[in-house]
Amino acid sequence: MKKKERITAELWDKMQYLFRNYYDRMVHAVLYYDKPVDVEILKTVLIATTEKVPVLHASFHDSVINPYWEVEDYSISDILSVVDTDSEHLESEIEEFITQSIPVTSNVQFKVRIFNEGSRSVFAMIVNHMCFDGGDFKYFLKRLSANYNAMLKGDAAVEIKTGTRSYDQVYTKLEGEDKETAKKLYKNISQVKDEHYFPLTPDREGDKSMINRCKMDAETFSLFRAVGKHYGVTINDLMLTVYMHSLYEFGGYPPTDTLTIPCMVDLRRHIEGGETAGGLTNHTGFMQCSVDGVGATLNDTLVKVLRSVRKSKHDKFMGLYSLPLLKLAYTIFPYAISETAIKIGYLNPLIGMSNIGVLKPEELTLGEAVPVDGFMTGAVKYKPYMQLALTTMNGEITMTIAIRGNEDDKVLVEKFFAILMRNVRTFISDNLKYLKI
Amino acid sequence: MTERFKQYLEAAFRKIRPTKAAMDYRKETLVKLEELAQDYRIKGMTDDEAIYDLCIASLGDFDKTLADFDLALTEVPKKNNLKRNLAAGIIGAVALVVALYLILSLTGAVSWGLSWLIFLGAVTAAVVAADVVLFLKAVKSDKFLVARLFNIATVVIVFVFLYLVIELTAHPRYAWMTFLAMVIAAIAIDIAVGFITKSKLTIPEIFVWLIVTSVLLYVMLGVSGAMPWHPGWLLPALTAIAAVACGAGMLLNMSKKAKKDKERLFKNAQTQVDEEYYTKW
Repeated sequence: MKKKERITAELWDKMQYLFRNYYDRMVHAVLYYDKPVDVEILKTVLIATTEKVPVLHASFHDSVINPYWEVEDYSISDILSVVDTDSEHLESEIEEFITQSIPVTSNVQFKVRIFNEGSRSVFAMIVNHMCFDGGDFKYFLKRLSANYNAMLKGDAAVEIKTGTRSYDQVYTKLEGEDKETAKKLYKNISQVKDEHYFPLTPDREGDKSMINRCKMDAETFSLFRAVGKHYGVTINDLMLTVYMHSLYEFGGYPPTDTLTIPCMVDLRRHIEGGETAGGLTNHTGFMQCSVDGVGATLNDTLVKVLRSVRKSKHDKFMGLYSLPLLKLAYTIFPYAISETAIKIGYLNPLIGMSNIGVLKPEELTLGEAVPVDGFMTGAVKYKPYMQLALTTMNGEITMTIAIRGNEDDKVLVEKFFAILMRNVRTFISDNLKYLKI
Repeated sequence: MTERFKQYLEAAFRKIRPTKAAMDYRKETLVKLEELAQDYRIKGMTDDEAIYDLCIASLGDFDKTLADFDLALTEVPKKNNLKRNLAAGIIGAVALVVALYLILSLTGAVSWGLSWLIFLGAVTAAVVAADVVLFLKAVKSDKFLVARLFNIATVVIVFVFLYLVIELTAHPRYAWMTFLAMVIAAIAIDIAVGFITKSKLTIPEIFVWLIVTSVLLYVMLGVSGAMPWHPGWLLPALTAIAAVACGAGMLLNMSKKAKKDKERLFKNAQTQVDEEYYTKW
């Protein structure tokens, strides 16, 4: 029997594997197209892409010394499925598909399903977070669209990045002393003790994965953005503000408590060549946002948030902390010991935020089919952990909270969304007078 | 606003030398002023003049700050002086110890067989001094692991020195008991550090210390005949039972408290859902 090809498990593969203790390791994307998608072309593009990226059809093998990926045989039916449905069942079927978890030992590490409903299609995809993160997921979707459209025009060549998956690409933009300093950033930034948690029900038998969504409509988002522009602050700062302000209210935290929330940072900002460099992998760090209590108004909270995030924004090593520590642990110890050591030293944040950013419809077309709506979200967190993920598309923001819980948890999350949206509207109405509309 | 800040800073920085450091400082100050102005605007101030004045006022006596900044670039850093003084101090102390050793040995005040203890004493004193410095540094950086390990090593060195002094000068029958006392002292000092650093492991460490101390006391008192072996064994046995009982009681209390907190939070959340969520249409 032919020996299977092995791929080295990179630092982030191992870290994401460790995160199985906190969440389901899946990254999700759903795109609603206005027209049907040509499944035959999609099939060809997916096979060609999978062939070029071996880690997508490989099984992960935990080992005491050093874990690895083993390239596996597969068929397109392992990856792609097509379902005809109606508008009544569409959302529940999408939810059922995207909340599944692909085992690490599976022969493929991503799954795509096309839902045909009437004269439109919905593209849904889940992928093991160990293969790549949200940043490369966006890149993957863009390449899928570009390759699909090229194939429609008769070009059979499929292009996708196939370079190194190593974590140390994040040092490629740095030079000289800065590079040396960055490689010595051993500080463990996960060790910020914040014991505030999002109030959810205790674990129950029958808890299941759910992706709760809430949309900020285009009109509200446009006003929200305009207020931000007036003050010279980003949407990320504004969302962090309403999120933290709402958490104090919903969580019942004492108003003078310090609240710290990590905000995910795409480390490709430090990579020469950005998103097109290297191979599909994880390059995500985080910056801590800490406020010393909630502001009397949302504007006051915004000032507190800005004072915290400015420190990170001015830091040329933003997001690069702790990487050398992880590298050291994985280098000097056998895997089994390093995982235990990291587990002891790593404090998974109870509450987080991830701004996935903008999904541009023009970069995601599949032939004549244009995405009219969609979102991406991170892994489904296990209680008491939770994260708010944000995706912007067509001038709207989709907020998602993916958790493993029950109907009572769903109600609590919806209540939180209601508070969050009320705070967004309050912020707009409080500041509308300054806008020249 | 930015232009006005720039103009102000350009004028102010002309009063000091045009160095690269000064240029960096000028840029940093502009960013600080812009951020402060942004904060005032977000807080509701609309009067640009007032914002500008407040931002400039936040710089304090900026001419003096700049003059100090410029001076700091030319002054010899004090750190070098400190290093020089430290080196001189160490050389002086070593010379003093050598002189003391030679004088006491050559005059016959202390026999050659004992005078070498002066060197060991000096080394022990140096280790204790280094331990104190390391601990003060640990307090500053709030990282105590290395300092705590060094503390234990220091206790070992001090007790080895004490043993040698006692054994070589007085030859007591039970000089070896110094090493048993060393264990008690090492844990006790670590407990003291634990209290200062508010370490969560301090309470369990106290229980361990009580048990270890009672066992070692039992051995020392038993061997020296100061306490009969029976019923002297009750000392470690009762201490261990008391420590385990106290520990179990504390764990039980903590678990009860955690459960109560969780229930309270769940109740609060449920009440919110019942009263507001379901009745809001």
